[in-house]
Amino acid sequence: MELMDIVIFVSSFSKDKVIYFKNNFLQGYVSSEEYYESPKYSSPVMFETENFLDMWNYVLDEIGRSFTFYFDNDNNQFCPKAAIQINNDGSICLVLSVDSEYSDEYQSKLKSAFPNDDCIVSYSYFMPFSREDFKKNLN
Amino acid sequence: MRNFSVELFAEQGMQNTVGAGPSSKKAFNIDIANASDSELGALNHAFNRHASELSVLIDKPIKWAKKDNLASMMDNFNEAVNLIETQGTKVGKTRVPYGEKGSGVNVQSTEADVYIYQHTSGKEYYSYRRSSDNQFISAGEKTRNINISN
Repeated sequence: MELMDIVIFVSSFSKDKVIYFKNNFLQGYVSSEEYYESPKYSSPVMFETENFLDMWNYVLDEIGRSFTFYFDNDNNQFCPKAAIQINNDGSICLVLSVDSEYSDEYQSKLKSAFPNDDCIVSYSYFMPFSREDFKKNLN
Repeated sequence: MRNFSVELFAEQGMQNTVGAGPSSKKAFNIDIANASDSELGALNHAFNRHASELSVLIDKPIKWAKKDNLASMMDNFNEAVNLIETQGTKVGKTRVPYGEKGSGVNVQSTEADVYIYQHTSGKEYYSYRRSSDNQFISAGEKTRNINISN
């Protein structure tokens, strides 16, 4: 299935925004993974667990803890996937992966919910790992 | 690790011609041991979106930081894409959006070669390769019409 990512890039750490996104946009979504390591792609691993909630609480507890969560919702054919990436510098990517026919609708909803944050529509892979990465990738 | 994707297509008596077809450039060609966060992130993103619909067996749980079995899973993904392109048909070209838009940035588009493979189940699978350099763009289950030009 061809999906487009609608990415809200939050430049400063906000636990409230992450929780708001999860509570208001990810009802019915489940984590795609069964094992969690932070940091996710590099060593040394500072924290690891088999429990989603443990990792969720760990990364939200303070700035500087990174992880990328992926979520699935088999009951939502228009937006079957989502992601939340929390970066070391506190910046955050809130991502909905949508069927292209519904991208305008979801983009509008996300922009309304996060009016002060950048909204990017990506047709490839765009989940910057820092504020600097975000600016560099858009140029 | 069983290569489920090869077996899926082999049910129809097709030969695995990985590397011998028109698109031997791998979808992902990452040096896993020395990969950057963004390279692994891109691989994870592709796995999350397309691996199950391409019937690529994912070795769960995946431990990305420890890179357990990542190279072989990447190979399996590449093999599934290659099967679409070698056993399917190059049906023409299409324009696909590429990159990002927003925050003052306009979306780009690129011309892509389109490969379509129809499985005996009736499902169709697509693969897009950038026409200019054969760079892999996307692959998965075809769920919508694709505007084809020649």
